[in-house]
Amino acid sequence: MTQTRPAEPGHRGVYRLSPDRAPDPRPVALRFEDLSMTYPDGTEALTGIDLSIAAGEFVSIIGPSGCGKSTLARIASGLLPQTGGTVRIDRDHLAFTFQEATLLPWRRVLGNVELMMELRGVPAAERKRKALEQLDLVGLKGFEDRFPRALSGGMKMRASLARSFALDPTVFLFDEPFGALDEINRERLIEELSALHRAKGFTGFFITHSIPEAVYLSSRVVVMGARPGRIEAEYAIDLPQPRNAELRFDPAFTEGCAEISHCLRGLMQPDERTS
Amino acid sequence: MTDTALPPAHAPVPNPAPPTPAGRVIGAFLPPVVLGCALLALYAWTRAGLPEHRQFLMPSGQGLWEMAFSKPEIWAELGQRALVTISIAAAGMACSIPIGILLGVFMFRMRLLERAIFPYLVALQSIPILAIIPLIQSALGFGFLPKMLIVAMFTFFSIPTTLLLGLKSLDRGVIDLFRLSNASWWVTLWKAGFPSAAPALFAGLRISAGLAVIGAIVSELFFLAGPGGLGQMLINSKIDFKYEEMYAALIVSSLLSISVYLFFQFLGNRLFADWHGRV
Repeated sequence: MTQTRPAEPGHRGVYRLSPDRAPDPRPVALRFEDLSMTYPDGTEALTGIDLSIAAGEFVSIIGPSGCGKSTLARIASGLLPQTGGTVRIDRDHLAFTFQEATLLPWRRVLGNVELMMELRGVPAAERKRKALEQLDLVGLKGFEDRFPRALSGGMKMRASLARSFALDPTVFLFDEPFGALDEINRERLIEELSALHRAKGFTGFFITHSIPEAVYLSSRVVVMGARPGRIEAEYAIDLPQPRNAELRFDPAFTEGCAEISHCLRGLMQPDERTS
Repeated sequence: MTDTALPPAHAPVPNPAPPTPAGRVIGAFLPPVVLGCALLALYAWTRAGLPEHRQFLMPSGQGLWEMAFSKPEIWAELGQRALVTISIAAAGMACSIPIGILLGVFMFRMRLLERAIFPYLVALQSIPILAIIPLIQSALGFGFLPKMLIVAMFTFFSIPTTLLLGLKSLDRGVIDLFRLSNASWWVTLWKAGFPSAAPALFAGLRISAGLAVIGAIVSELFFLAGPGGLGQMLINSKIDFKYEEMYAALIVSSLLSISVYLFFQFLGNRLFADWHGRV
């Protein structure tokens, strides 16, 4: 199933990229060079990661659980120091959204959206203005005085996204942000995030275990293998923009998902494949 | 096969009627009132079973009224002494709360300190404080300070331990958020650690508050000189064989203890009911 096709202009669909293709001429927003990560207990989490993401690109990382994809995002953010290789990234304009919404339960929604700006010393008036703007953007207008416990899971994640967007990030890291949401909410948030990416033009680095999620959002999908975590394949997602809900039923979309799925299955250990 | 009759439909399950306001009040107050009446009846029954010359141990309601609560001078004494007791309790807690909080923060900041201090905290808790009161007396005399110290010792333990527990259970993700913004340790403590640990700390404070009044009364049992509080009244009334007054002091002591507890509960609810739920 896996076929290596050169990027042909005008070709639409999902196709595998050759590892020795010509480098992307656009400016780089995030780059890993021969990155490796070994935990103190000797576990090799990542090895030989070479990945370059151009400014404005939206790249998803997909792989079996335990392949180190979350570790990769944490290293990119600076939360976790790598043990080998280098990361190039502008961390002054970085946002990171976690698996959980991670709202402070004692702050109202508005206070939560202001938090990161507050910690970075943005003046109070500007903070509030921006926070309200972002809440409007993620569809939480009118919820600014609620406490997080009064929000549904989807609304919490929206607040979390608003908090990140308030930083005007140039690079936006996501670590499976929609994994805990129900299907309908997840699809809606993906559609909205895709639109926001088009509108704002940030660089997206999206960790996920959902193939359709990765294909829908991305211009490129990176498939990782486990033990140790490494890059196995890269796929260009050449599907029309702006993307909308109907794309999910497009044969190019479903075939692309199938191809990535086959690639992932090929990476599974035999015991995992049968289960 | 030919039996096409439908099985009998189940009787519709009626929705339970919502409780009426009166029903809700009864539901909330009836159980404790019933139990209280039963306890009073048990008291009266036990008293009736005592030989007459020992009935002074359990004064009757009438006796309590005639010998204690009907007398304005007893009320004045109770008020004055309650004030003394509560100031000992408050001064003791004014010592133990800040020191306890500081210690909790230190232990949270440095694992090494936690390892060093925690066993002694537990050891302090296990010292029978009553047993060292004579020693405190010998060292510090009979003034206000030793009593305050005793209360501080009674109330200390739960403050650093609950605060430490609360601080340690701070969400890792929240710490990551602060780290992403390069927030200092103090900013993280102030904006995330304390608010997150506050409900746990207040649970500790409620325990301490109950112990504070007990500590204040116990401390006085050993200090009969000077203007004393309710503890002194308990001992004096025993010496003077005024058991009705002793019961009056007991009742006021309990009320004091309960009100200090309720004060911290009220304060806690004011501070975190809207995000953490009521206690």
